[in-house]
Amino acid sequence: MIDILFNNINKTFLQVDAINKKNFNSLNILKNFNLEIKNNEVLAIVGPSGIGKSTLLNILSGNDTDFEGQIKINRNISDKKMSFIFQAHNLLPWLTALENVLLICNKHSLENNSAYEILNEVGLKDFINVYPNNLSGGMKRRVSIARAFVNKPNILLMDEPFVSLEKPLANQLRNQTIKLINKNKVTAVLVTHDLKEAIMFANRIIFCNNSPMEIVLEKNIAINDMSDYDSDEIDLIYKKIIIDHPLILEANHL
Amino acid sequence: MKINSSLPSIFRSLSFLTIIAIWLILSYFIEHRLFPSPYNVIKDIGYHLSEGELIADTIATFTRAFISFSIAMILGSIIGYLLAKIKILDYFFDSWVIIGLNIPAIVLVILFYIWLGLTETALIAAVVLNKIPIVIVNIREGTKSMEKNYFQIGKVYQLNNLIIWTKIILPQLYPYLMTSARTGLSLIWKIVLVFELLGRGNGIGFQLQVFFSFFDISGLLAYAIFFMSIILIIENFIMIPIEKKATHWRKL
Repeated sequence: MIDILFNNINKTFLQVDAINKKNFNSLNILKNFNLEIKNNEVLAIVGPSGIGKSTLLNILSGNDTDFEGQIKINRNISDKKMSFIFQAHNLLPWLTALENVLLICNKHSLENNSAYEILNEVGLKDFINVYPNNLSGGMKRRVSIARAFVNKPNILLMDEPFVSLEKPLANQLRNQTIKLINKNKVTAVLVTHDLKEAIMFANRIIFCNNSPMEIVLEKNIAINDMSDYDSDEIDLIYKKIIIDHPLILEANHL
Repeated sequence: MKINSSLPSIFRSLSFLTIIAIWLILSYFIEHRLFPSPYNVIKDIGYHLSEGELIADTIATFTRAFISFSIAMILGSIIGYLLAKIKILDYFFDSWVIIGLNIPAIVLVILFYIWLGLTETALIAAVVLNKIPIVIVNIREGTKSMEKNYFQIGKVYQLNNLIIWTKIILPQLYPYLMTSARTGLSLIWKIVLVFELLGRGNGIGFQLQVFFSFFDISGLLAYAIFFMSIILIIENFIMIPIEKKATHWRKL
């Protein structure tokens, strides 16, 4: 479903075309929903719970194929490699940290080496042979981040990846993930409730509301790559959006 | 720390020795050929091993049990998985499974001995039909309770079927497979002996019937103890290590 190719001289990576999706009560979550994801951009989707943000990610990832409409990929993107940082860790408890990362590799020696490298990069050098049950919440999250980057993806989907972590740890992992996104030049889509997080990650933020989900505001963001979650730069943009669009943000419970 | 970890095995050994001691004391006081002493039974085991057919009978029984167990595990696992995955099949066959669970083993073997004669096929078919519903129920429940989130990994990263089966599905089913295997083995040993007693000309069950006819309690206990010892060896040196290996990640 996702591999319909299209020619686009612009830098569009994925194009979501008139998607319709109903929930278990046969109510429309997505109705005629359109979205363009540009190559190498980080797009943040912000909105209240239950409007269909995660559903959209599941459709983009191929997890959910029960929908109408089309997901198109640019013909010029030669090899689509997708990764996903799930809200739950989704680590297999019977595999060690290294095995969880290697699971998605093709047993190719280069990728095996990258598994060691990436686990080292996220600070788990000494925990590669530890099972997830014996890792802390933060460590499990690091493994899932390592897994997301080991296959050198060109598109990364993130579904509220830092939602249940303590603030200092969440900040540390946000910085680490941004570094990896920049290093790997990955196109990314982040679903989040946290506007500051969206500002920190994204080049473009779309605010969604209502059911079926619709885009009510779109903002381009330009900040220093290394800006911290609590930095003045992010705080300033955050306040400006709140002042400029109070009603939208109130509706989004931000 | 070392004393604590060895306590369970010390108590198990003490418990076993207590049974032997009680048996020894009772046989000393009763002093009757229908209540042989442990020494006489051990002597009988030696005799049947060297002079009798204990080895041949044990092999016959274990071959029947092994074949029945393998067929029941393979078929039961496949059917259980399919019932969990295909709801219409589950609706249709659910009552069959319930009947299978509740039909007395003895009824099945009598029917098969009448229909197919006193043959190996009849015995194995009856044992398999007794065991299969238990495996089906276990695997069906195991399949239904598999974590759906883990399958997202397979879809997102487009893992091939071999990896999905070996890394995602089977590890989740191991506990259910092991429960089926262990409960199944204990059930199969027992019913194979009864079925041999009813309609075969060799095997441990057949010999127990012969001993019963001659009121040879010592021979009967010799066969029973030898058979139980082998089952304990299989349980401790095959089943438990396999289970530990399959679920080692849980206990760390």
